[in-house]
Amino acid sequence: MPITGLVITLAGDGQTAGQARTALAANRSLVLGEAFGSRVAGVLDTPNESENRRHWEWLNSLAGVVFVDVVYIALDPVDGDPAMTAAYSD
Amino acid sequence: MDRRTFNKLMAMMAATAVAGGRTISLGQEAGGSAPQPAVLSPELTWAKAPCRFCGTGCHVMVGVGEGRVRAIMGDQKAEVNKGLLCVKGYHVGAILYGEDRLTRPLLRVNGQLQPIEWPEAIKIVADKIEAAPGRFALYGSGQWTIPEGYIAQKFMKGGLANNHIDPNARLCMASAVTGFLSTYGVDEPAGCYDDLDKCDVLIMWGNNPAEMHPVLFSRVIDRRSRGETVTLIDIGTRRTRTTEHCDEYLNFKPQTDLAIANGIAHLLIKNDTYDKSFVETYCAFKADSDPAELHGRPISFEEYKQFLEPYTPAYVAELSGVSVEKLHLLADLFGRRDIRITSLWCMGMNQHTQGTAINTLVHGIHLLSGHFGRPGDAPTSLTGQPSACGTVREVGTLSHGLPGGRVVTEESHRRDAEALWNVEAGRINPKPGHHTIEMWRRFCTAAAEGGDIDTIWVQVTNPGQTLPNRKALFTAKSSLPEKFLIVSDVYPTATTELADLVLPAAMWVEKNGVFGNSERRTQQWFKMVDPPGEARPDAWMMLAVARELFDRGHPSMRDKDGEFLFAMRGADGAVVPAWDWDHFYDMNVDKHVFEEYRQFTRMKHKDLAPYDAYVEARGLRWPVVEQPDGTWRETRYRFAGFDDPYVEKGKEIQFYHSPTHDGRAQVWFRPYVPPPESPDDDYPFWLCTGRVLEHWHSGTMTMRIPQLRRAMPGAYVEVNAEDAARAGIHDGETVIVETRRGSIELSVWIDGRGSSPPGTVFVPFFDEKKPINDLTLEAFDLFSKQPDYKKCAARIRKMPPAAATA
Repeated sequence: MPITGLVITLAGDGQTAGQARTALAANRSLVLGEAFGSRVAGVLDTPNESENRRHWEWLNSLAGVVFVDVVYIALDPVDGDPAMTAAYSD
Repeated sequence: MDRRTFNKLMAMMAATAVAGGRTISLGQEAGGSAPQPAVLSPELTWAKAPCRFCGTGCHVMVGVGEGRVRAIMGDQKAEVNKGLLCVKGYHVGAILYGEDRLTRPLLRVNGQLQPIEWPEAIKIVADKIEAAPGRFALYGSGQWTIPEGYIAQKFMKGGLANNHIDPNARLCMASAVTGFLSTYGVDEPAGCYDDLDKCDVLIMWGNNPAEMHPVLFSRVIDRRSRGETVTLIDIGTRRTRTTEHCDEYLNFKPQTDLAIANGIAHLLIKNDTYDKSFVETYCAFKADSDPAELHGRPISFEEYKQFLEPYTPAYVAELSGVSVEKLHLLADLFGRRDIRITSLWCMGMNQHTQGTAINTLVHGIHLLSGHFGRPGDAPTSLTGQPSACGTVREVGTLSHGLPGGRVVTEESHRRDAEALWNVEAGRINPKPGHHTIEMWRRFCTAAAEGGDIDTIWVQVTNPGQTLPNRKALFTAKSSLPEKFLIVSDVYPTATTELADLVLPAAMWVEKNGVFGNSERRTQQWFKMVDPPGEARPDAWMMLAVARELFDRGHPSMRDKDGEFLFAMRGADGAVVPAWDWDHFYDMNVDKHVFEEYRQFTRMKHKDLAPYDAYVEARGLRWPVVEQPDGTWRETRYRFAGFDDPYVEKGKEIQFYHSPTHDGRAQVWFRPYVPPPESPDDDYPFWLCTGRVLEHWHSGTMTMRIPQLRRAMPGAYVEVNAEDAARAGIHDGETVIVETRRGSIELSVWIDGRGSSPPGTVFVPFFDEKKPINDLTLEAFDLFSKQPDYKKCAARIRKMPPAAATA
């Protein structure tokens, strides 16, 4: 159950930031919250860790996104997801 | 409400609060001040703690339910991180739950580690100490809590009269200590993180905060996103993620940072742009003495100018590879009075055989140019561990130190400590113990050949992976059966592989704790969950061993009245037997120990507030001074009249611990000195080692967090594209990286996470299966005894055809 609370900082350039907002809004795993200037609150909810990572990389590579900060993470594993159970020795 | 919906709501609340610069209520908050109204957390109890990883000192809110850490959130009340966390920080709760936690004491019998009971384990440690107290050593850590480090310090120096105690922080910030001491006469930065909010120019000297201190770097990037102008300059030997954000990048040849610093000072004087008023009022000048001593010899300004004369832009450019134009750019910036400049550094300057020299030179540029003492004008070193400052530098757990900035070589300091510890005068040994490299060299040398350390107790660190020239300084122990290695840790590590006795430790929020971060901020937290199995806090282990020695009649653990050295009394005046595990939590041992330690902190004006003041706060920066109304006020800017209560009224700046006792800081001249090992025909590359964003130090915690491990599963060698093409090496290919001390096989990453210039390779050290420290050099700085992990000569060989296809 990778659920992460994000603060997404958008570029100062209005056109690029606008395009980024549109792309973010179209992502069905991402729920956008309030915006405060260039900073937008959001929650990323994905079924497993690999999807979470894929979205994370997409966010960081998106034109108009300057920085992505994570401010909250839930640590509970979901059934079948090996997160939180693997040992270094495996 | 189900847990999933709850977590999504909490995540959005946290994000909205941070984005909008507000704080949110978490409902039931343990250990804080007045309970806050319940808003959204019916299932979790929330409490504050500093992050367990680096020296930034971010605070997290830890959500606990059903005896487990369930959620982590950036703490919006924390000034350091204002609710933000880095990729490691938001996974920090998971470090407790790796499958292979150590849960029972283990003794090596016939080559195998076998479970034993705690009483037997404690007796074995006591036996080893009792057999030869002077041949016992304690190797600790900047991850010790302040109370743990204090107990260790008192146990060794006040109890056993043995100074063979040193922490792993010797390997990461000892040169920063000697730099501060020889410049200001007292350790630790004068400025603080607020400088990052105020500076016009931020110069990073061999520093990669975008990966190593991401929350601090984010703080600066956020200023830019708000439309502020802040110029970022990266001075380094390889491009990193930090470089990508910088306005200027100055790539220099390894070791020539000394020449660059002298070149800036040369131009400030040549162009007459140094701050004459500041220099005349607040500075004196120094150069190395013969024989070399930490405080050197005084020189005149005229001599200083003459020493700098050779460091012309043309000469420095030739030495360093940095263009004349960029050297002028730096000097012109420092020559301006209308801007504020902050310098940051960490391992790049500290892990250096001239580490003390380059630290003093960077301080010197700031002093010479007057870029000191105003918000945004500061030379500031960062630390890599959460309590390298608090536990190592302030508690004084280095082999020459005593608490509160005292040293064993000063008689008055020893008398102070003996009085506070209530032991007889003369108990503390005046001779410094073995520093880290020497301690391990002697442990790995047969007794008959001068190896005078028989037993080492390692706590909260992993020298089996992090010592330089590892085969000589650690692995050699395997052929010396008479040597005995005790390791307290939470997971199996490269160090436990050779341990004779393993003690399972509690970690982070499984115990009470206090850390001290890079900006003099002391941070407290309470135990929130139980450790697994029979894992126990390091503090308890030391108290139990001390009591075992006391009960045997060993004089070392008695004070001068015959009482147990660690006797702790409860509110009723009766001694609480905290050495007995069943009674360890009958009182707050941390609070008792902290209040005792606090008495040491006034002499060097590192005043700490009472323990309870830290319970309320998200850390306080020392000196913390009581106000007439009974509140405790922290200090952001030391030596600055507008903020530091110890500066005499009417003075703008006062260096009140000046090494020359005249209120002046020291501007040093130190020449460029070639490194002890440079590339040659046989080993044509520079090898640099370091960290990556996803992993912290030797990876024992972060490699057990699946998300981080998957993101960066193994070490690699970063190779420049031109070098790779010339050698016919391809991305992903396995090659042999070799130095005069050893070799390992690594996968090639061409211009990968960073980008090394031609002739340089980089290897991270987090991967225990790829021990790069088999290759590194143990040469160390003359004053700080800190080794250089950033440069030695290496070569890369393609795998033999048979091996490559196997």
